[in-house]
Amino acid sequence: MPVADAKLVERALAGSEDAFADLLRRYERPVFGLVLRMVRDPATAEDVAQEAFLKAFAGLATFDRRRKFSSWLFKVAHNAAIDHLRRREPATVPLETAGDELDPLQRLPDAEAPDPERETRRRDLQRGFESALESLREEYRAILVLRHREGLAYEEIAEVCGLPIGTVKTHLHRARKALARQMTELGWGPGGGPDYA
Amino acid sequence: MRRRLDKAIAKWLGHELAGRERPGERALTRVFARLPRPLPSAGFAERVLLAAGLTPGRARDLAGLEVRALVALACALSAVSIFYVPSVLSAISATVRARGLVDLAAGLLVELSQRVAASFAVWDALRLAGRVIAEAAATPGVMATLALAALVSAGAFRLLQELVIPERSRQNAR
Repeated sequence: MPVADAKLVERALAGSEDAFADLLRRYERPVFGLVLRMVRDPATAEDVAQEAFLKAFAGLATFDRRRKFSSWLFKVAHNAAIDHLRRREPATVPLETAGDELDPLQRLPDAEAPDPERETRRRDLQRGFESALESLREEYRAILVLRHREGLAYEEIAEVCGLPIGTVKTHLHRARKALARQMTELGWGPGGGPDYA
Repeated sequence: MRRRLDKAIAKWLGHELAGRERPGERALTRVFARLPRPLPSAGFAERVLLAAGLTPGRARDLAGLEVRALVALACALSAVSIFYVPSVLSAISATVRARGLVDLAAGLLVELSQRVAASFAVWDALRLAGRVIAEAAATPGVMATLALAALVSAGAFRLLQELVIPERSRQNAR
């Protein structure tokens, strides 16, 4: 039976190193996943995720325990990723031109693939989807991950991203449409994809 | 896995292109649930703990004064015992004679043979049970019942999987 977040936070504030470690291990994957979707580079994502955890631990005393810990932690991680993207020159790519040069993360394992990358991606369903996801604007990617991967409610996403709920809903709607458009451009449709025999 | 992701994406796109909001949302959640979750490199948590000035797992286990004292004591005992190794070895060689070794080997052989014989008895029992099951399964009625049970189990398993995967994905984050 896993210990509730609130209990772990309480213990961590009382000085338990184990509680810190448990919170870290519980959220390392979700936080890393969110940050990676935003910064799109695994090494950078680790740095930013680490920075987020350190900020969260340092500021744990300021955490309002009536709120949900996961939302607060995601907010810290989201802000850390935004700060990072602002610090460096953001490599924003318009949706219309998003394509092969994106997604360095997905390209790495295929460095020795004999086929051209574009063709490989068309054949690889998972990568196709992830490429389409990576080509979206960073706020769309973050919102999609928070909603559909982490299962956050609209209100929680609004809190994490610092946006009004209406904007969150609009962003989600547009993000899904853009993602669907990208997928159809890759040859996918309700009947399946390029390889769907 | 791939086929299931195929279907999940096709289903989501079907809802999305038809403008069905809610089913589209649910279908996209299922797509995400079928994607592997990206992982940080090994030792990430330990690095963060170190950077936070905390002691990571194993190091923390060894950090207690009692544990460190025990380890030191064990090391000291091991070091001292090295001096006694030659005398202990010579004492053993003096007590264990060739005849004793032969007796020991024969005893082991007997023990091994008895165990093999016992395992044959178990094997016979298993064969008998297998024959009974095979004869029962050869009856059309039993075969049909088994096939039906397998189908129902597979269907139930699939349904549970469909229900559990998105839910588990959400819960993992909490």
